[in-house]
Order: sequence, then C-alpha cells, then structure tokens
Amino acid sequence: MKKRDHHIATHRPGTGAGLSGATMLGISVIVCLFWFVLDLSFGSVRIPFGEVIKMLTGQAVDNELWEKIIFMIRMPRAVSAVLAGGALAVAGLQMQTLFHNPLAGPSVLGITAGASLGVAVVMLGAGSAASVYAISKTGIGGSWLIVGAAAVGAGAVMFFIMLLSMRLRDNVSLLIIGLMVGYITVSIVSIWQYFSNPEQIQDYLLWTFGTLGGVTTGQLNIYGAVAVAGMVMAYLGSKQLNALLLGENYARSLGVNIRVTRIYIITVTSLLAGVVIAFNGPIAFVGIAVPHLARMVMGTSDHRILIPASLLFGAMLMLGCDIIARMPGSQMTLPINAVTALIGAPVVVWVILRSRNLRTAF
Amino acid sequence: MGKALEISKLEIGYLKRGGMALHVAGPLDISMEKGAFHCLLGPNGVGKSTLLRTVAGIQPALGGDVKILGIDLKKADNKMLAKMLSVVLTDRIGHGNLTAYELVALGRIPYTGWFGRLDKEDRIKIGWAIESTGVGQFSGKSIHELSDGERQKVMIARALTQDTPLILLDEPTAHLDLPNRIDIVRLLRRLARETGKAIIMSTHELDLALQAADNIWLMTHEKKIYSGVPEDLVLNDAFAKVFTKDGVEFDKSRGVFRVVLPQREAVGVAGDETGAFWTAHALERLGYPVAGGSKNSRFVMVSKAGDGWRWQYHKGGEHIECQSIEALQQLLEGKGGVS
Repeated sequence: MKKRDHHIATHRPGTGAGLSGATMLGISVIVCLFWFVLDLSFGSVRIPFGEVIKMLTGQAVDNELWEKIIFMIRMPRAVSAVLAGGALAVAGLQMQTLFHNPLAGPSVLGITAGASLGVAVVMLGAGSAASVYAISKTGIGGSWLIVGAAAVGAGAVMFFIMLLSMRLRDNVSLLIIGLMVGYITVSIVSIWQYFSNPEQIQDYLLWTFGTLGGVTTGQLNIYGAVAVAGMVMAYLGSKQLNALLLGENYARSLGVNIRVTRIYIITVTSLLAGVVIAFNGPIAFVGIAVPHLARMVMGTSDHRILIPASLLFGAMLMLGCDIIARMPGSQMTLPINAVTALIGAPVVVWVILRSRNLRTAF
Repeated sequence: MGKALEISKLEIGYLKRGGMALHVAGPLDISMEKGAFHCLLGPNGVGKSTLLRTVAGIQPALGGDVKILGIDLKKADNKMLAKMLSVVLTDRIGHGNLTAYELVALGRIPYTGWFGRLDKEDRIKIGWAIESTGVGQFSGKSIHELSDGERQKVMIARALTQDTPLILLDEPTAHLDLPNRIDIVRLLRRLARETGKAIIMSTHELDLALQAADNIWLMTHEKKIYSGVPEDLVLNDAFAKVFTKDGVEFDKSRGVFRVVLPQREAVGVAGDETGAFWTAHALERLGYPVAGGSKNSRFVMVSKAGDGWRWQYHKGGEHIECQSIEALQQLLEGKGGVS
C-alpha cells in the first residue's frame, strides 16, 4: 500500500493540497479500520474476522465469552492503541516543524522524562509498604495514582518549558534546554533507582516498558477526550504550522505571532504526549518516525494533510505493533515499547531506502 | 497616503541585557517613492541587514520612526505589518516537499481564513505573481529540485503574492551566477515599475546597482547613510570614501573597483576597438598605466588577422609581433627570450 501511495505522491500535480490528498486520507481511514478490526480479532483466543464485524455492527453473536473479550478487554486496548499512536505522531509532527529538526519528537521537551519522574516519585519514593502494596494490588497501569503522577510530572516540566519559551527568542535554544531538562530529570530518576529496593525498581521498570492493556473503560473516556481535544487543537493550528515551514522570520513577516504560536504548539504537544505517557507509559519511537512516513507517503508539507495522515499512520503502526506484541495464539504479551521500535524501525528504514527522499522531503 | 517609505531619525542596533544598547547606525533620514527600486549598499558589517530587519519589524528600532504609506510601524501589529511589507531573506527553506506553487501560495497567509483555504481572489493573485516572475514552468516542481536562481524567483513571487506596498530583499543575488544576478535585478526593477510597489534590495553588486537602481542608499562605517542617484554618488566620491581600502581603489571613470598595483612605465594601446579594450584591460591588471595611444614612446598596436588577433609592440622604432596577450605579457615582463 505504501509503495503505491508513494508512486501517486511523486506524480501529484503541484496545485496545492487537492483531491489526491483527500483521497489518500480516505484510503488510510479504511486501512486503519481494517487494522482495528484485525487487532480485535487476534489475541490468545482467535475470534474470526467476520464475527468481530458482526459484533461491532450490533448483530447478535452466539458466544457470550467472545463478546466479553471483545468489548471488555480488546476494545479498550485497541482504542488506546489508536489514541496513543495518533497522539504521539501528531505531537512529533508539531515538534519537527516547530524546531525545524527531523530528529525532534514529543520527548525533546523533556515531557516524557517529567512523567517518568512523576511515576518514579510514587513508585520509588513511597517507601512505606502500604503504598507499594496498594499499587501492586490495583495493577500497575490501572492505577489512577500512576496516571496522576505521570500527568503531574509531565505538567510540571511543561510549565517550566513554557516559562522559558516566553523568555527565549529562538527555538534552537528552547530545543537544547528541553533536552537538558530531560537529561536532568532522567538522572534524578536513576539516582533514585540506585538507592531503591529491587522490588520498587522492578515496578518502575515494568511501567517504563509501556502498556496498552492497562486502560480501563472508565479511564478511556478521559483519555479519549483529552487526546481528541489535543488532535483537534493541533489541526486548528495547521495554518501557523504551514507558515513555520518557511522558518520563524518568514512566518513572522506573514503576520504569525511566533511567541503565541510557540506556546500554543507546546501546550498541545504536552497535552498529547502527557496523556499518552500517563495512560500507556513512555512509548518512544512513534513520535519521531511516523511524521516522516506521513511526509513521504503523502508527498506534501501541508499540515492540513499531514496532521490527519500522521494521526492515521500512527494509529496503524500502534495497532500493528499491538497485534505482534500479543503474539497471536500464545498467552504471552511483549512490552509494547520494545515492539514499536523493534518492528517499526526496520519498516521506517525500508521505506527510507525505497524512496530516498527523506532528506529532501523534510 | 504618504511616501512608500519614510524613515526619520531612525536609530538601529541591538538591545542587550540590562538596557544596554549596541548602536549600529543612525540617525538615518531617508525616504522612497512608490514604484521605485532602491539598492542598499555598504561594506560588510555596517548594518545593511540590521537596517532591513528593523524596517521589516523583525527587530525593534532603538529610536526614530519608520512609516509605510504614512502609517507608523510602531502602531501596526503583526497582522497589519504582514499586509504592509513582505521580505525575501537569506534564510534557507529546508522543507523540500513544498512545491513552488505551494510556497508562493503561503504568501496569502495574511489574507486567508483560519485554515488558510485559498479563495478565487487568492488564486488570481498567486497566478499573477507566478506569471510576472516567470516561474510558471516550474511551479509544479518541489523546491529542492529548483536551481538557486529559480528558487530566488519563487521567493520573489511569494513576496509579490503577499501584496504589500513595500518589498525588502536581503542580498537576493548572493550565490547566483552573473546571468541570474542580472535577471533578478531586471525583474525587480520591472516589478517596481509595473506594480507601483517600492522595492529595496541590499547587495554587494556595485556594478549591478549602478546600472539598475533608481537610487542608492550607501551605508558607511561612520554610522551614516548616503542617499542619491547612482551617478551622483560616483561623482561626489561617496563610493570611493566608503569602499576604499588598502590595495583597492574606486575607479571613478569606469565605476569599478581596481586592485592597486605598484606603478610601472606607461604603455600606449591603439588599433581595433574591442581588441584595444581587452589589451588595456590586461595591461592595467599587470600594473601598466595605459596612456597616450600610439604617441607613447612604447605602445601596442592591435589588429585583426584572419580569425585571430595580432599585437605589434613598438618601442624606439623597433617592433615585435605577438600572437596572444599572453605572449605580449611575457614580452613586457622580459620573459620568453625576446629582446
């Protein structure tokens, strides 16, 4: 599919984001839905594709267990895969455009590190046996405590970066400071780990592997609301992002208020990245890689196309990784964070080698 | 409606930490009319870019006023400013997925709605800008496929699309070869005439500026600015004062800079006009003043001979023939075994 799309992209007439962009987004939606149903169908218990569609369209299926598995377990998982993949990819796209840097992603502002610190404070710092017991009882990902801690950590770093961004004139300084804040936070966590009990470290490490399955239906409402709000906000900023393609000076000369735009983009990115980290753990890779895929496949720099495209490709990548992570037919589940890069990185390398236009496309 | 651009008592420079200011130039008092094409010249480091950036509102002025069509820039917000002036900067555009058309279309950002959707008027303006700059045949190409000259024209089309009374260009001819430089300057001059826009370009191309500019703004190391018609600035020695350095002098008779060499005995040149011009050119390059023609005690007579040229070097009644300027050079320098 990617190959064909790319072929179309290189021959797209240069008359702006025309029909072909919209058509390709339509195709992506259909493919994404297919992956979604496939994700629901696969797992330790194989449920036929057709039956899954029946259940989704509200028809009665003669198997109560299947219904439970689909709606109680796999549905929240698949939805959170879509949200995580989409949100991280959109956040990454915004960061790459804002910083004019192909290596930027949601993690460059230190938000991931901030969330990690928040979680570390709860898991490592809570020395009392009671709280550790409470966490392990509620289950790592399912705990509101962890979600809250990650959100507070991400929010604190975001607030700090925001204060700095009001003082700084240029984005490169901001990028470097974001990275430094990330390093500082990570090293605080590692010092903390050094002085912690092995059991506590194990809990923390489990969290860093990332999980898609820990989100409950109740949490999913909040997760979905925040993530969708963030994506809509990102789309509303697409004109400003397009202006930033020319660089800050040109954007300013086109009437874009750089400072306001920067704060807006950072807020949206923090929201998107923060909510994913809070519910799914620190999932790396997607935010950096997917925007490049979107640019190459869609053959445009127009954010009105790239934002929905990144969202869809991110969702597809996460759904695909989730299917692999659960190793269909077995009872085991691999940590999602390992799978995204293990499976995703070769895919990205393959696409780059095939199209050879990454450097020019960015 | 006032003049296209009016700069009065403008002080430019950089504000440093703690309220300290690094004063670059000023007070500057200059203005320009609609439909005029001005070139901003000056040695490196006198603040040409600072002046352009200050007028463009990219950096604040330390004092004084800038008015465009009578509107004070201090009273204009970002959005108003975007409709008053457009820029072509030296910043490199990295994103190669943009096609030339899409890049030109970004010039409509100040006029489009929330999502930047282009309406009919926007498309007409874009089409007009593409046509007037002659970038139509590669408007579908992505910008990384364009040559430097083509890309610069696309950037000019983008500025035109922004539909502003004033366009500022920071060294748009840098990195271009001579035909492209001339092409860009001619384009800018024609656009100023046809559209009534005021166009200012900073440059190091003195000869181009002398040929094409309606007016030259010449910035000096003394933090001042000379404004005048090119020929006046030549005749009143403004160029000579500003640019003269050790080893370089401004040749007022030709409007070019010359490398100063240790003077030698003069040589006369006579004969075919074109041949004599380049022979004199070579002699001056070698440090021989050219004077006196065939009346000089030694002179070169240039003539056409079939497909080529012939040089007769006369000295004290004798003459020696050379087949090329290189041979003539060796003769004059006393090499090549000719006495």
